[in-house]
Amino acid sequence: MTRNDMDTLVQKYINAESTRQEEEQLKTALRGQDVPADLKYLSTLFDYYELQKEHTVVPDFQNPAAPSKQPNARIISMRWMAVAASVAILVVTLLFFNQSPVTAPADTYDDPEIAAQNAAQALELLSGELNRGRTLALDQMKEFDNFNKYLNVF
Amino acid sequence: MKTFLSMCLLIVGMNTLVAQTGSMDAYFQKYQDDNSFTVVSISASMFQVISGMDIENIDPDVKAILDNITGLKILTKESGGQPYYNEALTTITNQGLQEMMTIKEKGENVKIYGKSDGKEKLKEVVMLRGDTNNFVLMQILGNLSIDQLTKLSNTLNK
Amino acid sequence: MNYHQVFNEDVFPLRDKLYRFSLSIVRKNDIAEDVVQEILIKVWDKREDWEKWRNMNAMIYTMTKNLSLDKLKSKNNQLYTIPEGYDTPADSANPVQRVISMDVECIIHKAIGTLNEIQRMVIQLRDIEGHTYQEIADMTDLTMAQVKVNLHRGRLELRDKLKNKL
Repeated sequence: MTRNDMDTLVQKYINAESTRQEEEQLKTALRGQDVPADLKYLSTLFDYYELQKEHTVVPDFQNPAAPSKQPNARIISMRWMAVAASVAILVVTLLFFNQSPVTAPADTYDDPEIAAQNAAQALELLSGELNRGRTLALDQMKEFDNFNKYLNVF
Repeated sequence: MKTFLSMCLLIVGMNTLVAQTGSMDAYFQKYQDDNSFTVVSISASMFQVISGMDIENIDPDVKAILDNITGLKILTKESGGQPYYNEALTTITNQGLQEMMTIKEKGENVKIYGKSDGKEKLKEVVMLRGDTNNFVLMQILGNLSIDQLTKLSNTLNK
Repeated sequence: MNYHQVFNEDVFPLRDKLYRFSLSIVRKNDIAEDVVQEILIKVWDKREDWEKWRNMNAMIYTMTKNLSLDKLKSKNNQLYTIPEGYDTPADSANPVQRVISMDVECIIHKAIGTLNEIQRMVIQLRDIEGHTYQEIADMTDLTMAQVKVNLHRGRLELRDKLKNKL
């Protein structure tokens, strides 16, 4: 391809007037050895586009049309055994508090102390995740020196 | 005796306090009667009782946060949690909650959402955690400070 | 209509393309993942309406576009911004045969980030996925003229941004 042809194609490309065939021609021409210096950027850009198509890691999506699997036998961890026990207490409590309006949220625990301890545990869990996220973000950042300036943001 | 007093307070509290609603109420309601889920719910009135109490084996930092909470709900499932994670995700995005954090690690997903009170605090925090088996949905209402929450695990893990 | 067959043959296989498409708008892996998962569920839930959709493919893309734009808005409004770069070209899965270096990839990624979301979107569909102008117009619910104008402006801007850097 002559330099002139190439320039025409690039101009058409930039103007969004090129056909797909012409864009393919241009890509092929720019993949060659002697790319003019002023078109180097376009050749790199095309490589980048190619890379995006092939190297983007696509996550595993759940197929909503797939038959849902039967849940396995439930194994209840010790941690939630306590919760389950408390639910049992709730049922009993509910019988006592039956006259309270339906709109009031049902309390799982009737003992404030147990409620407080469970709430504290929930907070710990949340706090742990918050910190995990922060640590992960920081770890990732270290790999990109040019993003160091963001470190303070988080 | 103390418990009895708390009970009385609770009954009074239930009638006086307007039930506070959170973004995920409908979602909780949908599954609270499903036996395969474990549900925990602590009401505003209970938190009011808690804030008036002195509980020995709770870290003062934790207690300080608890005193500013007006509601807590947890929904968990120990198996086949993935579809619920996805479902909860769609519900959350329709509730005006803003995403604060996302973690993806070893097949486990965690998302934390918040609703601002217009100032520096959050009036609601929702955490969603799921992997192929487990599913946890947690909702906290109140007057919450993210900094306070984050600092918590530093003190607890010492 | 056999919904399962249609979904498994025509919709679910689109997920990779939809993911890259959404990613071009929202530019965050996890948000794009959520968008596509939500769209897949939505499309499946609406299976009874499929017959009414004139162009199913384009419809799904348009839904993905709209949801992505919504998420982008809420991402920009969020309380604690997760810094950009948190999931820039991490490329953990396949580091082999890199045609261009990480630095270059970062420069281009950033340059594309300065375009507006419509420009990013049409560039994704044309330059990466290779769709025709007409297909892009249908997918994005834009007119053909709008597609070309945005493509033109985006390409022009990229040229100006990258010409001296690469």
